[in-house]
Amino acid sequence: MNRGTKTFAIILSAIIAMAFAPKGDIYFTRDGHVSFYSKTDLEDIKADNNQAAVIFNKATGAVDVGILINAFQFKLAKMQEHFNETYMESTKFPKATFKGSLSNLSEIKFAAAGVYPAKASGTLTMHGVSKPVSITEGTIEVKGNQLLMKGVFNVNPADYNIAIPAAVKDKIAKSIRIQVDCTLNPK
Amino acid sequence: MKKRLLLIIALIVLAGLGYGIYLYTLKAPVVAEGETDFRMSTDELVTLYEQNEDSANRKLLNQVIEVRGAVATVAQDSSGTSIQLSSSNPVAGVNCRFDASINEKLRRIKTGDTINVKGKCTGFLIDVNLTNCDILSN
Repeated sequence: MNRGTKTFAIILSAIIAMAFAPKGDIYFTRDGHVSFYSKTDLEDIKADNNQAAVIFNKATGAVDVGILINAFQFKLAKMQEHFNETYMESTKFPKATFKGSLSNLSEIKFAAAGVYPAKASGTLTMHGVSKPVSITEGTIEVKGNQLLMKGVFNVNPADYNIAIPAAVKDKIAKSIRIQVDCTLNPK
Repeated sequence: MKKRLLLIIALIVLAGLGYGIYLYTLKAPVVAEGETDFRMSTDELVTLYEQNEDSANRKLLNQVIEVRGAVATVAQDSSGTSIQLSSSNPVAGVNCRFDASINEKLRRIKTGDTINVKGKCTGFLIDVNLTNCDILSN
């Protein structure tokens, strides 16, 4: 199985799981917001993606996220070009995925409106590399029939074989802050 | 003669520098630029990705696509608008994202309308995704 097929299979298995799960357990969005932020003394870089696909099963706590690298919007054209062509090689690796689950599912009362602290762990795959990640600073807000999921975590480009050329290495943070903010609706 | 040569070199360097600064400060487009590479229906686009995602990406990734389809959902907020176009596939459609600068143009779009959208193809998740979209007159 090549990489493209494999990442597709991850999303596909989530869609199949979604189709068979009891009605009411599955929440999802196609328009999740994922942004990243790189801060150094020389330059602050921010990019936004408003098309993250997120599928969440509130009975099992399973979370599947898929994002397309080419859909990240930067302020400057050159930054966006370097990000896609040099760092992420988005033609070769068009997708990033997170497959994991909530580690404190029992603490979230889906029947009662409110904001609950949420933690998740799983596998992040991007640039052809899969690594375990933990999101410890998350929240889930139960609001009407929607779930608002927020989370922040850091990734180190070096862990994903993303090579930063020496000429710009002082402009790109060693640790990039990723922020997830999405509103999930019941299936 | 030597002076003149120096002047020419200085001008070339300045022009190069100016062009460099221009490129470096150029804003990333929020609406897909350039000629349309492919025109198709939502069904054609979704089918291409369903049959073989890799070969569809080789053909369509980063290309400017014009698609015609029926609006399933519209969601607008201060950062932009998402319009989901349906296809004959019960799950997958075409997910179109518009920058906030297009919001006003999309104010009257509602579920059931048939619209033409131009955008950059970024690949396949639950749907085929187009970003930096614009709406074209029917």
